[in-house]
Amino acid sequence: MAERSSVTTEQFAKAALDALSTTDTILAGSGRTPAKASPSEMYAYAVDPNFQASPQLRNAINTDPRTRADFHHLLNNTARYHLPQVAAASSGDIESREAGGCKISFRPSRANADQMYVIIESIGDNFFSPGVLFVCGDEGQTDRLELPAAQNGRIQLLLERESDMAKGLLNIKTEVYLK
Amino acid sequence: MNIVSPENRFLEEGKSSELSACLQNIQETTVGDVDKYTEKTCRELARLIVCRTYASAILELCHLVVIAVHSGSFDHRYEALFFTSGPARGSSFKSYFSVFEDQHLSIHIRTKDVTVDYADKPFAVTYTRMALLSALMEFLMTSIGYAELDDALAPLLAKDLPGQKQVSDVANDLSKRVYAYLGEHLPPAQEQRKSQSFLRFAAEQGDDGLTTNAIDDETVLEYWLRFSGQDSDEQSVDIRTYRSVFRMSSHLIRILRYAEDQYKMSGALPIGTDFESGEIDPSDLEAALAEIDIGAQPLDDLADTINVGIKIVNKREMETLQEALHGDDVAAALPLSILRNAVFGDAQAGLVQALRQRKGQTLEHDISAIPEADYQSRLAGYQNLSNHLEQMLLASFHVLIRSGNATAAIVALALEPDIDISDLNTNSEEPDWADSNVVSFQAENAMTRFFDRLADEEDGDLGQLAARARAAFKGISRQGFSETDITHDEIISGFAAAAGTLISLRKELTNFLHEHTTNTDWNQQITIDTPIFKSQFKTLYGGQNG
Repeated sequence: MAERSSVTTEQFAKAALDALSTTDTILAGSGRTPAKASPSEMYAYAVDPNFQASPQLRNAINTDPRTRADFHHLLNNTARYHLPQVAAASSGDIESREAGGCKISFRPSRANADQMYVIIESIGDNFFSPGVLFVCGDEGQTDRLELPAAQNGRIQLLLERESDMAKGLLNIKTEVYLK
Repeated sequence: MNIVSPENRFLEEGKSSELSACLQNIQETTVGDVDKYTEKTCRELARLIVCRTYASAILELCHLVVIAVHSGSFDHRYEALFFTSGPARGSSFKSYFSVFEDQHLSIHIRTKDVTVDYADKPFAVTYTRMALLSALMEFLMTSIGYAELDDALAPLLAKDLPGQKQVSDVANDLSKRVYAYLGEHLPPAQEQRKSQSFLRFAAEQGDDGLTTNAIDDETVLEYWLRFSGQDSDEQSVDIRTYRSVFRMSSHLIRILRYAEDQYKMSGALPIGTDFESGEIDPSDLEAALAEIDIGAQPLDDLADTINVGIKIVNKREMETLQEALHGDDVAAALPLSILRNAVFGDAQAGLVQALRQRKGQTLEHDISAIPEADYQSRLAGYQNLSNHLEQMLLASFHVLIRSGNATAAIVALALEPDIDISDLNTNSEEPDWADSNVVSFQAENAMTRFFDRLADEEDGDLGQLAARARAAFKGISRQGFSETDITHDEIISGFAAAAGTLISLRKELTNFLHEHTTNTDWNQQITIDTPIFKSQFKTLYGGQNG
C-alpha cells in the first residue's frame, strides 16, 4: 500500500473548494444545450398507454440515433409482444404479420377505400390486453398508438390508408411492439 | 502555461453542458407533481461524480439490480424498480418490495433493507440508500446510454442468481465506462484550478494566512472588483458575477470551519494522500464534503415536506429562504455580502439575461435603474418570512397535539422556551435503556401528562399556547392545512418530520436578523454600495456586447 501523509489546510481547502465549485457548476445546468432524453420519461412512454411524451422526447427518438437505439432496446426488453420484420415472400402489401402469440391482420374498408381495418388478436393468450403499439421503421421513425380495450381477445382499429401508422404496419421492414 | 488547457476544454460549452444536461434531467424528473429525487440526493450524486468516488456505489447498484431481478418481479428485470416505485424515497422502495412473496430463496425482504445471500456472504441494500442508487441508475442510462448499460448488466439477468464475483466484474466494467465518459466531460481533479486565485487572495487578507477570519465582506467585494473584469487562464469558470464569488466565499468559510473543528478535535484533518501521486484521497475528500454539505440540509428537508403535500412555504418563500440562509458561520462572517448578493446579485443576473436577449445593444439604461429594491426592503421580507415560519410552527403544534404526537413537546419548548415542563418527568430513577427497542415507561407517562395538562389547563402556559396554535392553523389555507388533510397519517407524519426543520430554520433566520444585521445602517450602506456596483456593471456590460 502506498504511504499516506496528512494534507495541509491549504491543500484541503483548494481541493474541497474546487470540488464544491464544480459540483455547483454541473448541477446548475447550462441552459443552452438541449436536455437529454430523460430515462424516466422514456420508460413511461414505452410502457404506459396513458403517458403523453413531451415533443422533445418524441423528436429525440426520431432524430437522435443514440436515443432511438436506446428506446428500441427498451421496447425489446419491456414489450409483451414483438413482431419483427416480415420476410419478403412476394410483392404487394402484406395481409398480416404474426409472431410470439400475436397476429395483426389488415382488411380494406368496403365503405371507404381510403381506410382499412387493423385487427390485432392473441394466439392462445388468455390475458391479451395490450394498451399501446409502436411501429419502428428502419429509417428511424417511431410511431405510437394507444389501443382500445380488447374484446374477446381482439382489438379492431380503423386507420386512414395513407396515415404513417398504417403505412408503417404494412411495411415489411418495420418492427412492431405491443405493451 | 498551455493556453488550450484541459480547464479551457472544460469551459467549452459542449463538454460541460453534456454532463450538466445529464444531471439536469435527474433534478427535473417528477413523479406526478413531486420531484422524484431530493436536492440532497442530487447533490450526493454530483459529489460522487466530481470526486470520482462512484465505484462503490456502482457495485451497490449492481447488487440492487440482482435483487430487483430475483425478487419475484413478473418480467425478471430491473427497470420497474427504478421507474414504477414512485418518488425515490426509502418508504417508496419499501412499499415496492413489500408486495413480493415469490422471491428467490436467497433474497430476503426485511424491515429496513433487502439482502441477497451469496455463497460466501450476504449483501444488504437499505431502502434509504436506494434513492441515491436510483439516481445513479438514471445517470448511467443518460451518460453511457441504456443499450450499453443493459448489455453490461446482462450477466446479472440470467435465470440463476449470479455470484459475488460476477457482480463485482460487472461493476468494474461499468466503472471503467463511467471513467471513460468522465474523461471526456470532467477534467481530472488536479486540473480543476478554479479557486487558485481566490485562495491566494483570501490568504493574503488575514494575518494568519488562510483562516475563517480572513474572509469578510470586504474580501468578497474586493476580490470581485479586482478580478471580475479580467480574462486569464487562471480565472475561475465564473467570477464575473458577484453571486459566484459570494458562493465561493461561503463554501470556503464552511470548508475552513470544518478544518478548524477537525484540528481542535483530533489535531489533524482526517484526509490523507497517496504519497506517490501526491493526490488527496478522493474518498476522504468526498466524506469531508458530505459533512460540509450537511449545513444545507434543513432547506432540502423542507423541500421534501412540500413534496409530501404540506405547503409550509411556496416557491417564492423557498427562494427567499435560500437567499437569506447560508449557515450560521456564513451569516456571522458575511452578513453584508448576503444582502449584496440578494440585491446586486439579482440585478446582475437580470443584466446577463438582458444581454442574452438583446445582443448588440448596450445596457446603460438597465444599469442606471439598479437596484430595484434596497437592503431595508429585503430585510423586511426576511422578517415577514420569520413571522411566517413562526405561524407554521404554531400550526404544526396544533396538528401534533391533535394527533397525540410526541414531537409536540419539542415544538412547545421551541415556541416557548420558558415553559416549565420539568415536573412531567416525576421519576428519574428509571435506567437509561441502551436498547432502542425498549420503550421508556417514564417517557410514555411524561407524554401522557403533557397531553393531560394541555387538556386540563386551558388558562395555563400550555393551554394558551395550544389556543394560539389553533388560531394559527385555522388562519392558513394551504395544501396540507385543512381539517381533512390532518386526518391522514402521512400528513401527520409529515408535520412531525418537518417540525425539527422548521425549528432549525426559524432559529437560523432569527439569529441572522437579530444578531448579524442590527449593527449596520442599511440606508447608508445602500447609498455606498450602489455606485460601486453600478460602476463595475458598466465596466463589465456597459457599451459592449458582453
